[in-house]
Amino acid sequence: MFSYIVRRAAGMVVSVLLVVTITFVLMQLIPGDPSSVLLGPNATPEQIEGLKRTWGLDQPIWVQFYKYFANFFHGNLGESIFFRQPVLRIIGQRAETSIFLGIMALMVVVGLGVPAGVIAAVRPNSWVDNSLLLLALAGASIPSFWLGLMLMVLFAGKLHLLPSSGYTSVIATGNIANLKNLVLPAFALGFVNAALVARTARSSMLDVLRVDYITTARAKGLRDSVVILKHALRNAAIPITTVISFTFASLISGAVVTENVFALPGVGSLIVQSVLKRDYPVIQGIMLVVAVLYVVINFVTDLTYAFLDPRIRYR
Amino acid sequence: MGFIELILRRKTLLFAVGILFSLVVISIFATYFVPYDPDALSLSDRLRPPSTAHLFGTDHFGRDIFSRTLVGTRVTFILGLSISAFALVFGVPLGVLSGYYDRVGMVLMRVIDAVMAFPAIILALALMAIMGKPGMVNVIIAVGMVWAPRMVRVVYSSTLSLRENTYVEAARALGASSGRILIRHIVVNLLSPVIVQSTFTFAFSIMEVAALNFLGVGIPPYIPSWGGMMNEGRTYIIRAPWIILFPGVFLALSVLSFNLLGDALRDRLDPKLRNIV
Amino acid sequence: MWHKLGLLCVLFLGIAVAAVAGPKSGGVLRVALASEPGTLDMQLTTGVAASIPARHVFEGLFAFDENYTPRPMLLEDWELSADGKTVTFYLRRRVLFHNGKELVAEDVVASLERWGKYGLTSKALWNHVQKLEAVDDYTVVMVLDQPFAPLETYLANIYGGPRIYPKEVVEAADAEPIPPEDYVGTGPYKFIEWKAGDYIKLVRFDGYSARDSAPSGYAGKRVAYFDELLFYFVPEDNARLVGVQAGTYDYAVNIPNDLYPNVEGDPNLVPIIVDHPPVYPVALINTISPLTGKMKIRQAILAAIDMEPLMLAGYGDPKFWKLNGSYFAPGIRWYTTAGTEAYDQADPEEAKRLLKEAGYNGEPLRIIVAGDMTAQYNQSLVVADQLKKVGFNVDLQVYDKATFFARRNNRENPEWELAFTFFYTIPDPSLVLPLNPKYAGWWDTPQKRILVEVLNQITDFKVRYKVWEAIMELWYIEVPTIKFGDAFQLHLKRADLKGYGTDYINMGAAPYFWNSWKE
Repeated sequence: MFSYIVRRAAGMVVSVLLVVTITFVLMQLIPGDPSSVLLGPNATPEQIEGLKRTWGLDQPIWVQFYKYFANFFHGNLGESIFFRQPVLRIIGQRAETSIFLGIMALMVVVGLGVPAGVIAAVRPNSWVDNSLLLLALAGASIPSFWLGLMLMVLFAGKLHLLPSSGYTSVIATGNIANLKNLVLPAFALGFVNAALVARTARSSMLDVLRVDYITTARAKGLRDSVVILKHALRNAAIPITTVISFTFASLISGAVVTENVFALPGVGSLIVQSVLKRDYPVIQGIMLVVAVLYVVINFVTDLTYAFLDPRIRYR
Repeated sequence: MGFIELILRRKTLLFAVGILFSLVVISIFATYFVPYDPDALSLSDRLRPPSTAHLFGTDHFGRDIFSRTLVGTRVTFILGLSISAFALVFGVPLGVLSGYYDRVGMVLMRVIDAVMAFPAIILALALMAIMGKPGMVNVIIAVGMVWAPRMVRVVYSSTLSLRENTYVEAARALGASSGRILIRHIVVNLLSPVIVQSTFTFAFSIMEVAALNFLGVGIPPYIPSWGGMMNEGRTYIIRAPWIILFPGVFLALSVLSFNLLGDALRDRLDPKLRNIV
Repeated sequence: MWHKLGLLCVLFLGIAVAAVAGPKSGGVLRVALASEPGTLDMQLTTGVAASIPARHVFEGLFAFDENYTPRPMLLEDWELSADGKTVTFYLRRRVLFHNGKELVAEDVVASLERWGKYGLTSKALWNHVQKLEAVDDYTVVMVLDQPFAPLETYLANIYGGPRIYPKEVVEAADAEPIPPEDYVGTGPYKFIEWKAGDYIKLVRFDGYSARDSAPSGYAGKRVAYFDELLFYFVPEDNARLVGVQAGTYDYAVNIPNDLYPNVEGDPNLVPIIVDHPPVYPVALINTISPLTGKMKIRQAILAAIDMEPLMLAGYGDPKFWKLNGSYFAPGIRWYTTAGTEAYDQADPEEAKRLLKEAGYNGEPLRIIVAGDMTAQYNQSLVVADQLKKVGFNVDLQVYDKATFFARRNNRENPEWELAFTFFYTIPDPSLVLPLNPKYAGWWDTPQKRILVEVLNQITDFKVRYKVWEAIMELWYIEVPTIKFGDAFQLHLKRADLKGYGTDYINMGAAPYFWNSWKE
C-alpha cells in the first residue's frame, strides 16, 4: 500500500509539473497582447512598448519561465494586469458564484436525473422509459447557451418571474434571496448533465434490480416502492455517485458558457474575459487552479479506490 | 443478431439512423437543390419570417435560412468528421503504443492526464486564442486536440486488456514480432471501442464547436454552419427566433442521433465498454 | 371668496405636483455596460466603456457643454496672453478630493505632466509646452512655444485626456495605469469597489463642491441625487435588454438597433436613439501595404462601395443612420461637404477602371474585423461582397477584439489592407484619429503634414475651418480611410429614471447620471 501511495504521489507531482509547464507554454504562444487592449484601440507603439517593459513582457522567455516557476512554488500566481490585484484573490472573489452555481446545478442534475433514471428502470422498455430516455438525450443535445437564452427570455423577459442576469454575493450581503439569480443559469447548466445521470441511474438500477436479493425481497412480498427505494437505489448509489462526481467536472466546463450568457461574475466568465483581454496571469492562474484541483481530486479518488479494492494496488 | 436487424428492431435506433442518413444525403447534395445561394446578401429582405418564399425565414443580412441550414449540414459534418479523424490519427497509435509498451505508457499517460486535467472548453479556448485566426482548420486542431487524449485513454485501456488475452500470449510464445502482434491482434480488435468513441467524439465536438462560436472564437461566422448561425441569430432570439430555431433543431437532432447510435453500438458491440467510454 | 379658495387650491395642487415631479434624492442606479473596461485611468485609455463610470469620479480643468464647447470645470477662470503663448489657470477654491484633501496647483501640474508624457491624446499639445508651473496654490502657468488653438478642447477631452488626480497618486502610478484602490478624483461620486467581471460601485461624495452655473451637457452644476451608482458588465445583448425589461437594470447601453420594435410601446421602457452626436463607422486603409499603398487602389475601393446596404447591415432600420461623408455630423460647427462628392459613388465601372490603371493583378486584399464588434462585422461582410464584385481578391479575416487591435496596430508587420472600426464624435478636427501619423493606417504625406501643422497653430475659427475643408478635400483624394455614414446607437432606460436624455440634453454614446433621479 505504502509503495503504491508513493508511486501515485510521484505521478501526481509529475502531473502538476506538466500542468504548470503546459499552461506556461500555451500562454507564450498567444498572439495579441494585453497592452493594446488596456490602452484602448488608439494607443501608439511607444505607449505599448512602455507598458510591456513595466510588466516584464519584454524579457527573454526563459527568464519569464524561471520567474513563473519560482513564483508558482511560493504560492504566488502573479498579479492581474487589469485589476492590479493578486490572481488568487481575484479567483477567490469569483469562486463564490461558480461554487453556488455548481451546487444548484448539481441539485438540478440529481433532482431531475436520478428520479428519471429510477422511474425508467422500474418499467424498462415501456413508453415511459423510452420517452424519458429520449427526453434526457434531447436535453443533452441542446447547446446550453440556446437553452439559457430561451429560459432568460421566457422567465425573466416575458413572465418577470426571475431575475435575468447578474449575481450579487450572498456571503457579502447576507441576502439569501440573491440565489434567485442563479435559478435560471442552474437549470440551463444542469439540464444537460441530468441526462447523463439519468442514463447511468437507469442502467445501474437495471443491474441491481436483476440481482438475487431484490428478487428475494420481492418474493417476500415487500411493496415495489420499498424494494426500489430501500434496497435497489441504495445499492445503485455507488455508480450513480461516481457519475455525479464526474458531472461536477463537466459542470465546470459548462459554466464557462452559462456564466457568459447570464453575466454571472464567476470563474468561467472570468477566464473568457481574460482570454479576450489577454490577461495572461489570470488565464494561467485559472487553468492552473482548475487543473491542479483536478489532478489532486484524481489522486484522492485513486487512493480511495485502492483502499476499497486491494487488487488495484498491485497493478 | 445482425446490425441491420438490430436497427430495425429498435425504433429509436431506426429513427437515429434515418436522421443521420438524410443528413448525410443533404450534406452531399444540398448545394444542388437549395432555392437560394446561402451567402447571397439581400438587405431589402432582412428578418423576414418563414413564408413560402423563404421556408425558414431570412436573417439580418436577408440570407435564406433554409438554404443556409441545409448547406450548413455539410460544414458541420465535415467538422465533426475531421475532428473525429484527428482524434483517431493521434489517439490510436499513441494509445496502442502506451498500452503495449509499459515505458511509453508511463510517460505518455502522464502527459495525457495533465492535458485532460484542463476542462475541455477552457483548453479549446486557449488553443483557439493561440492560433489567433478563427478558421475551419484551426477549430479542427483545437477541438481535435481536446478529444485526442480521450481517444488515447480509451485505446490505451482496451490495449491493456487485449494484450493480456490468451491469444496474444500464444502469438508471443510462437515468436511473433511485436509489430505483427500489434497489427494482427490488437489494432484489429480495437475496432469496436474506437467506433463507439468516435460517435461520441462526433456528437460532443459539434456541440463544442457551437460553444466556441458562442464565445467568439469559432469558425468564421460567414461560413454557414449551424453553430455559427445560432450564434449570429442569438441577438435576434426575441425579434426573429427563426434564425436560431432551425439550425438549432438540426444541431440537436444530429447530436441526439449520434448519441443514440453510440449507445446502441456500445451495448451491442461490447457491453464491457460501458465502464471505459 | 370662492374663486380665491379655488386659486389657493390650484396653487396647492401646483406645489404638490411640483413636489412629485421634482428631483428626488436617494436610491441606487443600476447601469448595464456592454463590456468591462481595462482601467478607469482615463489618461491612459480611450475606451468609452471606461469613460462612463470614470466621468463621475474624475474631472478635468474643462468640460464640454451640450454644444461641445469647452467650459471651465475645475477652473474659476483662465486667461491667455496677447501672443497666445502664456496660459494662466486659476483653480476653484475648496474643491476636495475624495480623500479629503483640497485640490491645489501642484496636483494639476503633476497630473498634466504625467498626461503630457504618457497620455494618449496629449502629443499635439505637449510638443509645444515649454514650461508648466504652480505659481501659488491656486494658480498654474503654462508656457507654449507657439499658440495652440484647440487648447481647451484638449483639456476638456476625457478619452485619453487630462483628468486631474492627487499628486501622490500620479507619482505612485507613473507610466502604469492607476490601480483601483487609488481612484481618487474630485467628481460627485467616489469610487468604492471594482468587482472583476461584475460591477464598478460608486457612492455619492458628500464633500463635492458643485459649480453654480446652470447644467449643460457635462458642464455646469452637478448634483448627485442617487446614493449609489452600480455599473454592471453585461456583454450579452439579450441579457441587457431583458435586464431592463425585468427591472434588473435602470439603464442599458448598446441595445441592438434591430430590437427596437421589441421595446417600443412598453410603458415601462424608454428607448433612446443616440443621434446627437452619432458614431462614425469607418474602414481604415493601410497606406504602407504594398497593395493599398497605391493611391489608385484606395480610390478604387472608395469608388466601389455603395453605402446604403452597408448602413442597413450595420445599423438596421434607416431611423438609426444617415448617409454623410463628413467626419462631423451636420449641426456640429466643423461639418463640411468639402471633398464628399467622392463619397458613396457606388460605381463598379469606375472601380474596375481604377484597378486596371493601378495594374491590379489579383493580389489578396486582407480585410480584418473583430467578430465581437457586431456592426463592424456586419458591414465588413457587405464590403467584402461589393469588392469581390469589382474584381478584388478578398480575404476576410475575423478575429476577437484583442487580436484584431494587436494586428491592426502592428506597424512593423501590418498584415492587413482594410480594417473596420468606428470613431466617436470628437470636439475638434485636430483630434480626428487618422490625422495622427502613428494611428493605424499610418497616413503620412507631406501635404497632410503641412495642413495639420497649420490647423493646430491658427487660432481663428474661420481660418481653421478653411484648413479643415482643405484636409477633407485631400482626404477624399488620398483615401486613408473610408467613412460609411453617421450611425445612432440605441440605449434603453426604465421610464422612472428621470433627468437623463428626455429632460436634459443627451450627451450621446457616453451618458452621465448626476442630475438624474428615480421616481
